[in-house]
Amino acid sequence: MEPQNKQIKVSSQQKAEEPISSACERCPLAVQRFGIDLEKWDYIVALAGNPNTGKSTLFNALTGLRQHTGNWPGKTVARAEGGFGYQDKKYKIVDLPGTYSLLSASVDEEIARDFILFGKPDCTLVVVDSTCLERNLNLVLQVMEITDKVVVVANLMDEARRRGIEVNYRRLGENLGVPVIPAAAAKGEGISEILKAIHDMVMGTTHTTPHRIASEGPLKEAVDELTDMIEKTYPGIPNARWIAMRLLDGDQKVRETLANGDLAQLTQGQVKTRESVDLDV
Amino acid sequence: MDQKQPPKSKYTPQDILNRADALQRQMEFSFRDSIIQSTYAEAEKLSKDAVRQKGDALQTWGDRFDRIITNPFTGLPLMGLGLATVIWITIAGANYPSQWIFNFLFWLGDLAKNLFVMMGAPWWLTGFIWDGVYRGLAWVVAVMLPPMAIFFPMFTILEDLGFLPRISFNMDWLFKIAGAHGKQALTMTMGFGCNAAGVTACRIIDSPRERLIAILTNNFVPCNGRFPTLIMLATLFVAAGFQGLASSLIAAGAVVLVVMIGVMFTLLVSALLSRTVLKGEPSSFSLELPPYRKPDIIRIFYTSTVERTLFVLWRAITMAAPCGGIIWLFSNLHISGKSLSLWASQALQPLGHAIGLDGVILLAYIIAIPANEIVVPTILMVYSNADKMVDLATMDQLKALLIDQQGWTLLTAINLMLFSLLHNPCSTAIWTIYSETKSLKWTVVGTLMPLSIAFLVTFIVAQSLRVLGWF
Amino acid sequence: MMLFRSRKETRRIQVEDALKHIYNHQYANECTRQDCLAQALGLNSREIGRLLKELQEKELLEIQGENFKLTPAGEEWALQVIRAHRLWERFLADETDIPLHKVHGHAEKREHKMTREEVDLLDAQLGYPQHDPHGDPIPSARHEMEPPATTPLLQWKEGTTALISHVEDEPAEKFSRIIALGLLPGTPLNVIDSGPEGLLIQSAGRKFRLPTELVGNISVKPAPETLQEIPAEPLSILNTGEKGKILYLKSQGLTRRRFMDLGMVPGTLIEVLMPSLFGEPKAYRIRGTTIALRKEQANQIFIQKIKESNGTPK
Repeated sequence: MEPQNKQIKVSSQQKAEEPISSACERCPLAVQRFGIDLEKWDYIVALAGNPNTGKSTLFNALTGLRQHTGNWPGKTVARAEGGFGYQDKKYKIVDLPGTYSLLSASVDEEIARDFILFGKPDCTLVVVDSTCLERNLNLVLQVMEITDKVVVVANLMDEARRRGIEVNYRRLGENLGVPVIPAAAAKGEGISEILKAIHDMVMGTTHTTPHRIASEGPLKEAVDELTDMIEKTYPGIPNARWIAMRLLDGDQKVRETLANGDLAQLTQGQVKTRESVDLDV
Repeated sequence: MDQKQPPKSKYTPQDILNRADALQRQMEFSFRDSIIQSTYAEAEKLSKDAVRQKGDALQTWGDRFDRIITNPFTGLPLMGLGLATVIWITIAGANYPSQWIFNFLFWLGDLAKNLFVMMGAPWWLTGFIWDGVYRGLAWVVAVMLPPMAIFFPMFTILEDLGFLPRISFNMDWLFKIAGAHGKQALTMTMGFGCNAAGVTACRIIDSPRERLIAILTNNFVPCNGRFPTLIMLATLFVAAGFQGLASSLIAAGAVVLVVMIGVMFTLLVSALLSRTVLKGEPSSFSLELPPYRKPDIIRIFYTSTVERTLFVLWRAITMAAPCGGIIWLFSNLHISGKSLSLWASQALQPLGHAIGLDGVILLAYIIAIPANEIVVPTILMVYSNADKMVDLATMDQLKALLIDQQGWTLLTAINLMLFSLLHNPCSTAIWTIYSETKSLKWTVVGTLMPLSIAFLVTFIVAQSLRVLGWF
Repeated sequence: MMLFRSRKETRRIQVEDALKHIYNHQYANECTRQDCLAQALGLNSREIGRLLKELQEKELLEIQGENFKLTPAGEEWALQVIRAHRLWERFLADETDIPLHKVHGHAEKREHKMTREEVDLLDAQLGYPQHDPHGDPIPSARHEMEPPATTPLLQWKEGTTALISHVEDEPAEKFSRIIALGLLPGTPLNVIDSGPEGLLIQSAGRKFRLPTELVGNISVKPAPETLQEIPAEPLSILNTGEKGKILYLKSQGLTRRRFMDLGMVPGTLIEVLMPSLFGEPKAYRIRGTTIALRKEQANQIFIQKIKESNGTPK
């Protein structure tokens, strides 16, 4: 298997099937699979969250776009993309379908999950509903298994306040190990704080210590052992733990990714990648 | 058994997969179940630590409204009333703007035509552009734009409020009996906005069989583009003998009735499909009823009015204008002393008559195939071009043309409403069906099935009413 | 479409069926003589003789007096067929609309057509299930199979809760009657009384009599601690305003995953908010979200009813 020889092509969403030569050294996979033109963008931001948490509203608030935001489950059936500028940097923002989980592998969940994994966004915003945090945190915990670069937007804080729900956002942030920004996207509250949090995240000035699931009990041993194997095989891989969990869950897609060498491309260094691929034969 | 891999510095992917399988086998519990359980347990812990409820949890007005809308005694009247109100506001609100646009565009058209005549342009050029292309455009804008620009924002507000899932929740029982998926009620209500959007929304149904049923039947609810047709027919014929408020109320009632017939056909055809060609077991159903959200009314009015206006103008330019041109040619090209349109409509007359319509209507329908929601404006264009004596400046004159000169009856209006409700989807919706199903076969079914049903139903209605001696 | 099987294919099916039957009979301590096998496989004495000879030549089978015994290689092959069969049943039951009483028939054909790789892939896709929909253990890729530690229902003592571990899928008519009663593998039940016309069973909040001719087709095992003495009832018995705690989900596959993703894990509180206009479906409050479920789905979720302590009248 020689993934480095695969010709990297622009997906059909873009003009033609001509190879990108200079676009981006570190994430050919993302370009190939998701048709995102990275040349025009400095950073990519993914927008995840449960349905009906005001994701699309936040998307509109950030991009100034007027994407219609209906209020019914499953409304965003595909990804919507937009852009914004902040402090001389250009950002591409991708609104992922609203999902409760990333485990079921239904179409919308797969779109969301694959983008966070293979699209390698520089920052993933997870929008949560402040009025029912418990349910929403389930997804936050799952996303944090895939990527460290997470900013949680606690949306609808006005609604929570109105209903007498007091949320200690700072405490939540400390416990989660990632920034939590309270917001009311429909009123434009919290937008500048979100922009700053994104900026700090992509600049690398924010350090996160994501809260891990399955960090105790009978699951831990199995997950740890497999994580160790994956990390040794693919040094520098950012989401070994998540891959270990998916393998234990029998996730066919992740198994294939591992078997066909695509996983190697998720590691940062090209040299290391080649070494591990050689072992694959 | 499962020998643990000796510690190495590197493994092959196969090593890792084998080890994963072995570990998985050793577990006495389902890994997936445990991982979800532990994730939710963590989420609970994190949320308890950070969230405090001050006083009693507030019962929101949304909760209270939910009880009213789902109550068997108040729910049904409320839903019916809601639909009727939306349609009535559309009818009453569109009436005058339609007239103004109509008058303005025709005044402008006459002006330009006179200018052409003065400049000595050849009659066929003047006729083709100003009596054909321009008139088609003007007709469509005048008839379609005001109702669409009023209905669409209202629909969007209901959508943003979170009203559609409630309607689906209430109607699910009927869909269950029809053997369809519960979310089909949701995709059906989306169809009121636009059938193409409704077909796309069918993605939320996972089971391919039930999704196909939802896609194929979405056409039976009249979309935003077909409401103007229904409204115009209801106003001109059903509510003809009434004035002012009574007229608009009766027209609204008639349209509500047509909508209900559409819903009935959705259920009927779904039931038929799920018991014949698309047979199978019902799949699992769960539907979230999201909390009500305050819609941003000003933004919705702004964006959807602009959007609809652009949409209608675009449709008028790409579809109606060429149709207008074709109709003018049909009316002005003569063979053996008869115009093409006369030839064609006479040939179509027997079939048209059999289904309670006439040859001109069918001809207009064929010409307007690319955008058959503009079929009524097309009918009027054929009539007015065929009979140059009439200058259609007001709705009254229009009535005079249809009833007095062309012999339309209530039967014509009823059947045209039914035909417009049931016939095949517009070209955009057909294309959407294709891109969603990726199947030529189902696209053809999705197009021809409604068309055959439309012919069948109008035929039965026409024949039985004639047998009864009413027409 | 292929109308006729090739000779080779027919041969493979015969060989595999024979191996499977010998394996099953061997472990059930039933007759493995030539005549018994011929009857079970529907072959005449000449055909069975030829088949057994072939198995012997391939070193899949050895003769011990009147009886036959599988060699390790024969046993492995038999287990591979059983593995394919049971996984395919699991797949059909979980991921398709095919009714449960029909999955056995489909799997009987499919089991001969799958390669080892396909079977392993299916196993992974299904998340390594331990049991087929009838409650029988599925052999692992290494052809290990947990021995079925079960008791016939007839011998179960009254008073302790039993968990159904196996429902015999043949004859299909009896099987469909049993599943119509809601007695699927994994369902807890209590035997209240036994009489000449059958057992009086309590399961899922209902009491009913299980006719004698069906009792023999059900095997049980002791229920785990968590299910003991908790009267599990389907969610659908709750009235508006009542609450319950989820004990377990009976659904499998995609539906189960969906439910769990919505937060319906054991221990979760669930409240009936309101029925819809026609009384069906009903809306439930689960972890702060309102979810509508049809009765069919509510019947898959088993709960423990929570009595309101602070005196709100029902």
